[in-house]
Amino acid sequence: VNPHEHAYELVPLYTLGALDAAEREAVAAHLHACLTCQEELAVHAAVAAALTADAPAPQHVWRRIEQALDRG
Amino acid sequence: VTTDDVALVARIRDGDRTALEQLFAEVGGAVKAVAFRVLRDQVLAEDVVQDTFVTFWNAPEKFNADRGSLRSFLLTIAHRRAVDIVRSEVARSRREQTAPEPQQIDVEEEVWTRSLSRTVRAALSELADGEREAITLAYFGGLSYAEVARRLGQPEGTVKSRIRSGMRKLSVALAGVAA
Repeated sequence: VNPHEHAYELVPLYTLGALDAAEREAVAAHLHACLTCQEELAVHAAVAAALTADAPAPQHVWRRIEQALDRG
Repeated sequence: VTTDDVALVARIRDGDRTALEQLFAEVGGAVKAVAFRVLRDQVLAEDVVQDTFVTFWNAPEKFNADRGSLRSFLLTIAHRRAVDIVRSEVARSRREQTAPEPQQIDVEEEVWTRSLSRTVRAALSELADGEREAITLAYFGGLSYAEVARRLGQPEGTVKSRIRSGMRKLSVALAGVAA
């Protein structure tokens, strides 16, 4: 698969945080070098930001905070 | 509001974790939104949310009710941290490639952002069930598309393409009001 096409297809998932670590790193690395993908990112990031603005607090992050507090 | 803030901070200073949890439930979503708008990265934004609340827990006395609400205090911490991350990322990558400039945001833009938010959330409710379900689990549930696929008992490729098509529709809805 063409690396650009692969990254471009994954940008919406990247924006939502829906990739595994390896895919995320690959997309992030490609983004640094690719204006087309940066533009695609801007479009989807605007959607994700708008979804988040009024969103409830992310409960899975609260669990991480509790773990951090337990560690002291 | 300020009296509530002061009471909440007093409980946090006494080490009452349920007070922090209450605060998180009230403003955690907005804190993440601010971080995400700067960073455009979920994972980093959630790191900032965690840092913000842990920092506040460790030094609640830094909040001064005379200078503003607890909400804006936390949003300011999160915004500053997010900008720091972008700056260090830009400094690091400038040596290799051109990187996107940090996107400065104004915490006071929240009203406009909230109206965009209502539009996008209305559009979300109008997506096909499969699209909405996949986006909601990934974004609000913090799951990867592979985890979403397992949860729903669907092929990964299906979940991937539903997220893509759903996000495309949401971006069209957003472009309609933001233009």
